[in-house]
Amino acid sequence: MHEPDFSADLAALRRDQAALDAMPGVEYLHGRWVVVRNGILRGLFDCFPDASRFATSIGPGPALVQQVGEPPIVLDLRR
Amino acid sequence: MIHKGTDRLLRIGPLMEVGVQRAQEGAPKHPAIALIDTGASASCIDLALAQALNLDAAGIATVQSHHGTTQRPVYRGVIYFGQRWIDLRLTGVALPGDHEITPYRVLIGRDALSFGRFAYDGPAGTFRLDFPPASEG
Repeated sequence: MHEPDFSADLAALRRDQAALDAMPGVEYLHGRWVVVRNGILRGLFDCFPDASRFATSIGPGPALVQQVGEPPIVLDLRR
Repeated sequence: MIHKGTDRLLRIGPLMEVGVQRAQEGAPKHPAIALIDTGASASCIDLALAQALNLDAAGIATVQSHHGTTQRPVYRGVIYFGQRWIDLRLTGVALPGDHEITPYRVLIGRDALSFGRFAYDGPAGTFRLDFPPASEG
């Protein structure tokens, strides 16, 4: 089965993740939702819907929308 | 809302039609068959559908399957359950929806179910999924 190409999205998100991890004082943002695009922290929010709406407002394309300190998303589909 | 379908409910699981929308006001809603999957912590969407709807990638998930462990994009999307909608993160996986035993392109995981009440009535061959109005949820 041909799988769609999402490598560019993943690469951009990995860069944003690395930028977030390296951000000084990120530990003080624990529990807040962040929007990171092109390695720059664009906004801080209390919930995912607000962060998502903001991410939409800054234009299309990949942008990391994540709750600081949340565990990574791991899905086990071996069922 | 009560859904009935004894044979499919037994063979496949609780299936329902949902609307999928790009997280942008006024974006078109795309109908899709969804499987309610209480075994999945996070909701998922077929990768090809996510790209066709221009959903924006917002994270990375690690997906373990029989083919190995891979990284997949997580998209921002809106799922409509009737009139009620929920902003969700949807992990992109291969769910082409073209097979008799996998006719769905969306998995509704426990992240979405955390907003509502899900009841499965095996003897009656029905299930029910209700979401309180957004102000209560």
